[in-house]
Amino acid sequence: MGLFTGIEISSSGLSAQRLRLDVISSNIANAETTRTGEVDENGNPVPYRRKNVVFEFTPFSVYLEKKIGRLGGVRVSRIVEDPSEPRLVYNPDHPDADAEGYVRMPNVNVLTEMVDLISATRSYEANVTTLNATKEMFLRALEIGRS
Amino acid sequence: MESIIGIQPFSGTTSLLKNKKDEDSVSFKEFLMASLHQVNDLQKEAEKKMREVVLGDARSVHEVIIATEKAALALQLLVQVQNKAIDAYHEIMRLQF
Amino acid sequence: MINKLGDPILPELKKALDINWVRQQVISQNIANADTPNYKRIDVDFKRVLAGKVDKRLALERTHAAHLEGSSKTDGVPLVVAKGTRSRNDNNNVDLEQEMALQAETLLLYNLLTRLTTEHLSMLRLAITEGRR
Repeated sequence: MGLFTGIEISSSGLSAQRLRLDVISSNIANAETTRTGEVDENGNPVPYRRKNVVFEFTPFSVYLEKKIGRLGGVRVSRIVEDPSEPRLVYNPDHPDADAEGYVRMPNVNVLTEMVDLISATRSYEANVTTLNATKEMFLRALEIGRS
Repeated sequence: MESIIGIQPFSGTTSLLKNKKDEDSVSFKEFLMASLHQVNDLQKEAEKKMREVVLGDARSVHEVIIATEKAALALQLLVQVQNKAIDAYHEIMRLQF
Repeated sequence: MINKLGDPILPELKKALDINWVRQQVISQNIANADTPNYKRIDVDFKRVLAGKVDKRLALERTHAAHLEGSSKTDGVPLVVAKGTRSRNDNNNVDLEQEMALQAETLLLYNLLTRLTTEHLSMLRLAITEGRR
């Protein structure tokens, strides 16, 4: 464990949550995106697919202790697509409606995304607070012995 | 400096007394030598911590600071003790007349 | 004698500082991994820390204590993986509120300890330099 391990850990948390926020933003922004440039086997346009992040614990390689107290941060190992089917919404006037008048809408539930957004923001802020606390401890220790 | 007769042994130096069972007082020279070694050890410990910082191996700020503070204080203490002993010696020398 | 400068309180303060410093790193890890699937929170193993205090010798030295399953030592501070607490759907048992509370507590303790250490060193310094004519 080094002098800055704590800061590095919190920093990795910030990066991971930031990426998660970006993905959620993308989902929300594309909640109504019916076209992605792809076409499915029936010739219908493929809508935006909801994306999700997968977090993974990432141990730091530490010079000193051989494998005791595996300290580490977090990272986004993958961004995956939600495999659930697009929502079919009856809207025959829509330019992307199929032969039966249904439009394939993205499998994004904006309410779910909002809840996720709040959770990600909360986690992000928790990492900020922690990083500041670690920094404060570092600076306090420097003052030991100083009158 | 030879033993100073009549100066009471410093409290806390009983460990040194183990080697001098036939005298009640500890040789000041021995006490000073032992203290020098200990101060040197503390200095080396402090240097070790400083080297760890330079090499990126340091584990915490407080352990480095405490080691350096302790070494500095120990050196100060040793210098003060030495000064006092020298003062006492001069005091005694003045009493010769 | 001189190498025992500050005893017995200074080494104890240092040990407490070590513990809280390590705890802060560990809490940082818990918070960073609050959303990581299958992650289980880690904390300082206070049981072993307190057990060490019963025998003063052990408390101040690095011991080669028997390694309990799921526990390890970092810089002489024993850690433990908290398995017992309830987990959520993603098998993660980190409670963000609890970690934040622990972190606040750790910060305050550490600040108190650095202050106490400074005070103690100041007293020593005063005693040493006092009497300078």
